[in-house]
Amino acid sequence: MLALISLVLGAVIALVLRPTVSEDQSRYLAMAVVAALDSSFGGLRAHLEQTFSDRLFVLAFVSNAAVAVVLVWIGDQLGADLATAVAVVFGVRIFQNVAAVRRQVFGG
Amino acid sequence: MAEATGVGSGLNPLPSAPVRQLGARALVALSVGLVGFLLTAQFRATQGVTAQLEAESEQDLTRIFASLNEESAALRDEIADLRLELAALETSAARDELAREAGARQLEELEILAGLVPARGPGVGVRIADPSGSFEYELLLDLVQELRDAGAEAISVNGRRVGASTAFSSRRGEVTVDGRPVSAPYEVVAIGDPATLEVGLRIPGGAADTLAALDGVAVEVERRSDVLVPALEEPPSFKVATPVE
Repeated sequence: MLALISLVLGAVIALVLRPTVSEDQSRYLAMAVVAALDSSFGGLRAHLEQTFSDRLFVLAFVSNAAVAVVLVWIGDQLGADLATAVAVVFGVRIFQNVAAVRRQVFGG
Repeated sequence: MAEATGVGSGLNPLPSAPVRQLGARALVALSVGLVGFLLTAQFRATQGVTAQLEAESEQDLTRIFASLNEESAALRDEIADLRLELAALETSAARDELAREAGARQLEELEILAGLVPARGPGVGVRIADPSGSFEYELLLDLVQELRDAGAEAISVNGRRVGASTAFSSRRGEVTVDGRPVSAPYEVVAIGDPATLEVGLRIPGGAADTLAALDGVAVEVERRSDVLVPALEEPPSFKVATPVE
């Protein structure tokens, strides 16, 4: 419940403050967001499976986002499109986490 | 997923510490709040450009597209131009370098020819003993001429360089080189191919024969693997002559 409230609160703050994201930053921010989304769904799943650990959640949240951003940055330096790799990996994980959540909620 | 979901419940903070639990919950809330914040910010940033483009009419979009295409073509042209310029500059730099090297080599050769710098190399030494004083400067002139004919590149007489404007003469019975007296025994040193120089000197009826025929004069010609010829003491100066363009 607290998590849901803070999610909405964060969105509202962003809407009110209207932070400007430059084009270059946008690429990195997008990857960080995808990584954070994955962590959030993972956390929701763990919560439903009753294996949620707040410490591990925060650690995974920060490290996933950081690794995603660093990977994209390294890809840019090398001229390789690692952003796609990050998006694919976290995309697959989000699907798996959502599937797990669905099974928990609807059973099956 | 395990690291994100926290299967390892053993890592849970001690449940008996409610303050720590509250802190952890706040951290989780903060993280989730951050997700909401970032998600919205990124969403808005992406929306901004898209909305801007969507607001344009089809004609404007066509125009924007055309101008972007034009710009990219112009930039590509510029790249090609700059590449050409770079190639041209590299070629001219290489040419300049070659010309500079050739010039330096030519300068070295001319300095040796003019006698401005000392020179060393293989050559011959001619020693002329003249106890009775029957040696004349014309014979020295002949000898130098003979050496030059045989390809001598640098010549000195008793340690005096024979340059392009060196003159031999006599004063009060003494042989002079560039106005300075030299005395017997005379030693003429020449740089060049030793064999050719020696053959040139020893031609029957040539310089060595002429000298040896003189009364009391002894000539010794020997090949040397390394002789040193000094520079002119006074480099030639040109007061009247100027080059014709």
